[in-house]
Amino acid sequence: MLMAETMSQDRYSMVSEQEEKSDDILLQEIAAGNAEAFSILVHRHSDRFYGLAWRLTSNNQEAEDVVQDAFLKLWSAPEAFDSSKGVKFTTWFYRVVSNVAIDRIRKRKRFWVTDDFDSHASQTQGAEESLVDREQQFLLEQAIQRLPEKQRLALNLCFYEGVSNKEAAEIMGVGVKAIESLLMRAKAKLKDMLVRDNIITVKELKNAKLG
Amino acid sequence: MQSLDEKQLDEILQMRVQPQSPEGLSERIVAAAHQRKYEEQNKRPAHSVGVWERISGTIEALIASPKPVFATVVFVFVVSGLFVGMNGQTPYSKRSNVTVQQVSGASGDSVDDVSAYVFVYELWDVEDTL
Repeated sequence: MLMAETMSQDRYSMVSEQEEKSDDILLQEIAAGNAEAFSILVHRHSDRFYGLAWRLTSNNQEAEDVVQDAFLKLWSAPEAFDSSKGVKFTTWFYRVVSNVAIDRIRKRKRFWVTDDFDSHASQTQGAEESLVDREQQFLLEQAIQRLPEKQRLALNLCFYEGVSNKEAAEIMGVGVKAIESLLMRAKAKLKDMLVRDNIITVKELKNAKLG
Repeated sequence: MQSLDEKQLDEILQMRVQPQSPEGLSERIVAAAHQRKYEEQNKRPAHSVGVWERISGTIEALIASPKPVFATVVFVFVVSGLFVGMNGQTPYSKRSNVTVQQVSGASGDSVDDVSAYVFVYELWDVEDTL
């Protein structure tokens, strides 16, 4: 009994040690074929990258496929990530995920926001949910999806993923000034779309604030 | 037309839905990676089957058949038929509009030599086309 407990504690401490390892260390282990290191990395980051994938595709299944494809690419060719270049794993992987997502979006050749929107909309809690109905959220999603590809990616990274402009510039392979410009144009375009299409009026917004 | 200021726009953008990662996503990815690794380990390239393996496999199949002698005779007949069919040359006599000059040009032999060959082998068949 005591021995079993000791073994269990040892295993727990080993797992904890693994989980505490940095991304770079885990990636080195993945390159050596360590499946456990891969598992830890996936558990650590899959939610974050699913968020970006969903925001780019607006589709549950497609977002899941995007994240899976991206991680399988990493598993097949871990040497593709070169930590000696001084790039963070997450920065590099955001690029991988966005490239996979954009490839899929281009293949489908048309814009759509699917019913999958509802599965997330229904989970959104808070004051906004009671003030702005789901239809308006749906229309907001449509407006964002109508943005040009680069503007949409910049907005998703900087506004929704909380990535700094500098990091977004690295992810997208452009300069910081270009990111600022993309964000500015994205917001200007959204303003026009939101008001022109009466998706959300200023009056509704004021009502929302008063409520 | 109404307009939105920066702060109002930011507030609207905050209303966007927050995607929720599906349950078990990480597990599915890890399982897919294991599956891929397993497939890669068990995948044997087609060219790894050597010539001797193919020959011994064929012989074993013939021996294992209910009538091994008959099967072997048929096999040899079919294979030799295919071999002859694939490597056999269409005789000059069966080719229409082939002249001694064309054969000479293609083979590098002199016209006289080609004529001599034709005379020896297929004189009667080709004389109409010369």
